[in-house]
Amino acid sequence: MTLLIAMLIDTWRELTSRFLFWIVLAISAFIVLLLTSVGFDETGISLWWGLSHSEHELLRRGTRNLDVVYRAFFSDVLVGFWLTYAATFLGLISTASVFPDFLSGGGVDMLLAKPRRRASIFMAKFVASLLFAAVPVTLVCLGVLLSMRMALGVWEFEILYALPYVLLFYSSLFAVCVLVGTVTRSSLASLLLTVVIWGLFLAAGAVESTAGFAYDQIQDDIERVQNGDDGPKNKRRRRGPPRAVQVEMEEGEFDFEDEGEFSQPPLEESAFDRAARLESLEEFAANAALTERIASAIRWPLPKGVEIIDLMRERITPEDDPNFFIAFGMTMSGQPIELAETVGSLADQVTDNILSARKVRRSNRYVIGTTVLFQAITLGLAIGWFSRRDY
Amino acid sequence: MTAISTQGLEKRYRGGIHALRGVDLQVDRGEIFGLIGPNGAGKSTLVKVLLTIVRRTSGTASLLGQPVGHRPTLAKVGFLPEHHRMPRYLTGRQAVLYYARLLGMTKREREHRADEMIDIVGMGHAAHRKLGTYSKGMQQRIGLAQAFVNEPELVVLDEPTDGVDPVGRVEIREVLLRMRERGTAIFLNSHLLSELETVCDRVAIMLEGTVRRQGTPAELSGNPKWRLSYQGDAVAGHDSNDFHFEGDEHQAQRELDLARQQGRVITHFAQEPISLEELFLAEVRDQQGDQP
Repeated sequence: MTLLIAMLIDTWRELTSRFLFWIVLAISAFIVLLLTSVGFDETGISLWWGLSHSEHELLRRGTRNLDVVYRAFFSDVLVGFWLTYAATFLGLISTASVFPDFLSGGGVDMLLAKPRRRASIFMAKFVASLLFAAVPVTLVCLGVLLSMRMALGVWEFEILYALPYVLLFYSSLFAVCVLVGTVTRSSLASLLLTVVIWGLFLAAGAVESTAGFAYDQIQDDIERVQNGDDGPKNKRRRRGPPRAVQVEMEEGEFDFEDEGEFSQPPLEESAFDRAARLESLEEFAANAALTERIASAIRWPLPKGVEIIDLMRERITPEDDPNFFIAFGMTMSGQPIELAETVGSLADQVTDNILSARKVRRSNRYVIGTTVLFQAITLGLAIGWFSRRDY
Repeated sequence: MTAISTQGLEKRYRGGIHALRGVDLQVDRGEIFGLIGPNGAGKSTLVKVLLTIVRRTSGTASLLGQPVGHRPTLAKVGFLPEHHRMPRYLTGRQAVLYYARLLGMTKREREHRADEMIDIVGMGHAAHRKLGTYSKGMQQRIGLAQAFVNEPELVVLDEPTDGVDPVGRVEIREVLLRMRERGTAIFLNSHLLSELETVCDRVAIMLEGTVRRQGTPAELSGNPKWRLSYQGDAVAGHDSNDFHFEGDEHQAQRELDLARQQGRVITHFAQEPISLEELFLAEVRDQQGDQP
């Protein structure tokens, strides 16, 4: 414990001597400050600590819209973008040199000559280095907690779940940075390789989810072909507005977009064509399934960064809630979010279409377990290298 | 009890460099021991092996009676490496406190000892300045303060006066002598032979990974060197009335008697200090002569 405290104090001093750390902290503080400058009362919204006030039907204290927009802003923008990607990248730039510097001749000699195990020294340094991520995240979490209390009148302690999730995300990348830095003793190499590996992790995740999405779509197509339900009119129905609206259109109004359907009735496919099409789709589905399985197998031992952030979001925002941009758009256009089921499912559809990808559902235990395992293996390799090496 | 003892210590690096080729060495408690040798002789490797920074290939070594790597023993050892790099973002006092904390000292102990050592090395005036603003000599002094902060029984110093000006060297030498008075054994690794000569009780000459000779400067020189001067002409058997000669105490007495019997008034008679540089150069020349 003495060693860890010594390393924490030392690393804190080291971080505070780095310009980038202050940049990240300043931007985080600025965002929190902006957030606290926004207030709400029973009639509407006030800006700049009450200097400006405007009435709004939905952006006022006590509405569900306000609660959803606030939470979604925190999880999607503050944590989902700023802390997870931008601040993490800046954090890696700033801390990539921590271990190469730590292992430099004359520096490490003085530490190794102390009555401490090499593995303990290494782990203490690693844990202490996570301060770079922990400090801005804590600042943002506490700032948002406070601003929500001020703006909405409630203590939303779920906000604090962001801390462990973002730290887990950051530490899995930092573990890679540390391993490369320990082996090469080069700040530049450790930063570049970590960013490349991070890109590969994301690419593997994208391949898996895209292949999964493609497989689901093809399965739908196969089902439609098998049921003889694959004409253009039916396709439009599936992707169109909710059924109630559609019925209203069919009964009362002429749908200009569907004009073609009346002028050119769908051609009947022969049984032979249908079988050939089915065979082609099944082949495509098999390839998509194989790609997904391979990507999934490759990803198994890798950290699940995107899923970790999704888990954090699920903790903070209910599953049916739309994301920030949709919730904000709905609120500004005067659409209440009380109709959670309808609006939520609509929002999900829109989000899915934007992403053009299917979220691969994993259990919390799987996501966290495999990520922690990856970190343990990566750090184990780094500690092994550090412990066996002469300095 | 010995402070440092090695038998047949060997280190062969992965690249094939045979840095230590069977080092046998003994350093007693309470003495200042100097290790001299040319660049690449294996001095720093020996120090690193003793402090577990480098792993030995074979042989045995002990510190303060315990095998090398025994952690409780390392808590009683101070160390200042060559070309050390203490964190530049720390102040002098923070650096000493940081290393004291790593040694497991209590808060009261480390604060008391850090302030004491900073005063002893003459850095009290700059203790709250960042190391990045220090000169090389100031950094060496803070390095010494951290090496002595835990009241060690043994201190290993690798080139402690490297980059320090002549005044600073004298001050560092005084610190070392003060620490010896407290009973600390000091293992000094330096290129500066004149400096070692003035502070070391014993020295060892290391060449190509082996200790060629070790002992007091007098022991290393074999027969001591004398200088005799007297008034009047040179007596029979002497080349001059002011001359140097080598020999033991009996030989010196005989030369003195010879001059007195001839009625000469002795103006100077003393054992001449043996230059470590001469010894070292002679050893290096011997070694070069041995090579084909």
